[in-house]
Amino acid sequence: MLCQHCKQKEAIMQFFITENGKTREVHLCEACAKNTQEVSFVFHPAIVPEFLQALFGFNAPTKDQPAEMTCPKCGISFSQITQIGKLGCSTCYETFEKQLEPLLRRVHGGGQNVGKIPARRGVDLRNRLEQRKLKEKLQALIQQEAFEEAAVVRDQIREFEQSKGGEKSDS
Amino acid sequence: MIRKELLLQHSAWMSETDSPVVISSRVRLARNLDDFPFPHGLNSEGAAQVEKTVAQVLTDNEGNNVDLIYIPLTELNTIEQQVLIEKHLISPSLGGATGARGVALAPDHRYAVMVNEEDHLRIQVLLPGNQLLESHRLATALDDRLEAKLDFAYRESQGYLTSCPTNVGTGLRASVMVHLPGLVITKQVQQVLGAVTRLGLAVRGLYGEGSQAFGHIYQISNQITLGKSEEDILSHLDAVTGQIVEHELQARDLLRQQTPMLLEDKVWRARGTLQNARLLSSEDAMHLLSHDRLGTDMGLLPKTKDCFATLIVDTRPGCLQYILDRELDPGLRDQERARLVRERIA
Repeated sequence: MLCQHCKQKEAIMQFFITENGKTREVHLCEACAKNTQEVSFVFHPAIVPEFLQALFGFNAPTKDQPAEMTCPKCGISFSQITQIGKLGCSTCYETFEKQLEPLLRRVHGGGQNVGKIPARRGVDLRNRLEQRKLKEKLQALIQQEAFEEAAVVRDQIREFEQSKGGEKSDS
Repeated sequence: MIRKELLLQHSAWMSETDSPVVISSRVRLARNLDDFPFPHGLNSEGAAQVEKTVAQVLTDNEGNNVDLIYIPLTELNTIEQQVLIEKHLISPSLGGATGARGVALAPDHRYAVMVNEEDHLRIQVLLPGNQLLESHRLATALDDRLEAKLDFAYRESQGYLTSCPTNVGTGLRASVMVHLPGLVITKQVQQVLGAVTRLGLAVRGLYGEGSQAFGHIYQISNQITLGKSEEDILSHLDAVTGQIVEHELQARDLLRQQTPMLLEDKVWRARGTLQNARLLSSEDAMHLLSHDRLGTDMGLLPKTKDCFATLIVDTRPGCLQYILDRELDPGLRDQERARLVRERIA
């Protein structure tokens, strides 16, 4: 394929250029690639972190926006994240939750974490989930008018709350 | 165990199994310490502190059945780092980086935990054949052991938090290394692997790129890490791997039925060259070893002393020089590679 800029030399580099929220593909020769200054571009799209910059680019703030928020823990801004294709620290996930949401949807297809919960640090979360599951079961049994079984589950919830100190049940 | 002995150790994943197509399985869990910025944002003191904290927990082997030995990469020369890369125990990016970083290895290389790569910890388990579930079981057990002493970054909605959002959630990247000479020779590899990528899995040639994968070895891995459970990710990859194996075996049957003499000629020619060549480039060696392995798998050639994966790895430039204990220029390397192969394949 010939370079799309000089149309003389063989294109050896492929770029994904993001401008005004739209990404296009450009093939350039080495010399033209080096001289391309007017747009930000991404090398080697097969390499995930760099390719991600293009994805991040969809959410990058424009120049007209007010001063950017930064992560209170590591001090990184979302523009910096879009440039390097990586987050600064674990708190960035909370700080930039809204900006990250569309990206995570594009990469992973949406959905929340349903994977492993850490054994030690996830005790509270595990208890909450267990409690939630029991409450859902209780509601389903009440709707089915299976009151005897519902009473057993209700007792399980109470027992659970007493032993684990979980959320107090409304029922 | 002295370092040279540890690095030269035959890696568990290279062992021969009864699987004719799946060479090895790997599971990798990405984990980060909550209290530190991700590795790319660490200054040299921070990186050293993370390394110290993590290495201490990794090598606290008391009461554990896994003994890990920590190797700071700053103590290794270029060839030693290359050996670790060629054995798939560390990534090329960890090798090429600078600063406090390293790898904790089990003596049989079943476990290889990278420290301060893209994430603070990359827990890896590598086993021979198709052992995705067992690899995951071992990785999870080690993860639990580490989590008992380290605070890993985690959020309910997003799971384990990683430097790159492509790994967030389970932090799990599972992969199988498959040998597909039948599909390459029958020109079906693009079609089959194209279908695999449409099923949400990533495919790459292990050495070389795309259809030009040297040694006909490909790596298939999951791409999605968030919104799916570990079990779903593993069973999906396992099911697709089963399909790939079936297609490869069908392709081999096709070769045996339709062009038996061409097939026999190809594998015997490879064996003859490997036994007699005086110069072998790394790529030539991989190509010929792949055909040789096809021949032994199909019962057309007698088995060799060393298995396929061992020969592939030991003939790579870094391992070759490390085994011979001297630096070699490329010309001499081809000569020594041919000699090593002649000895091992006799």
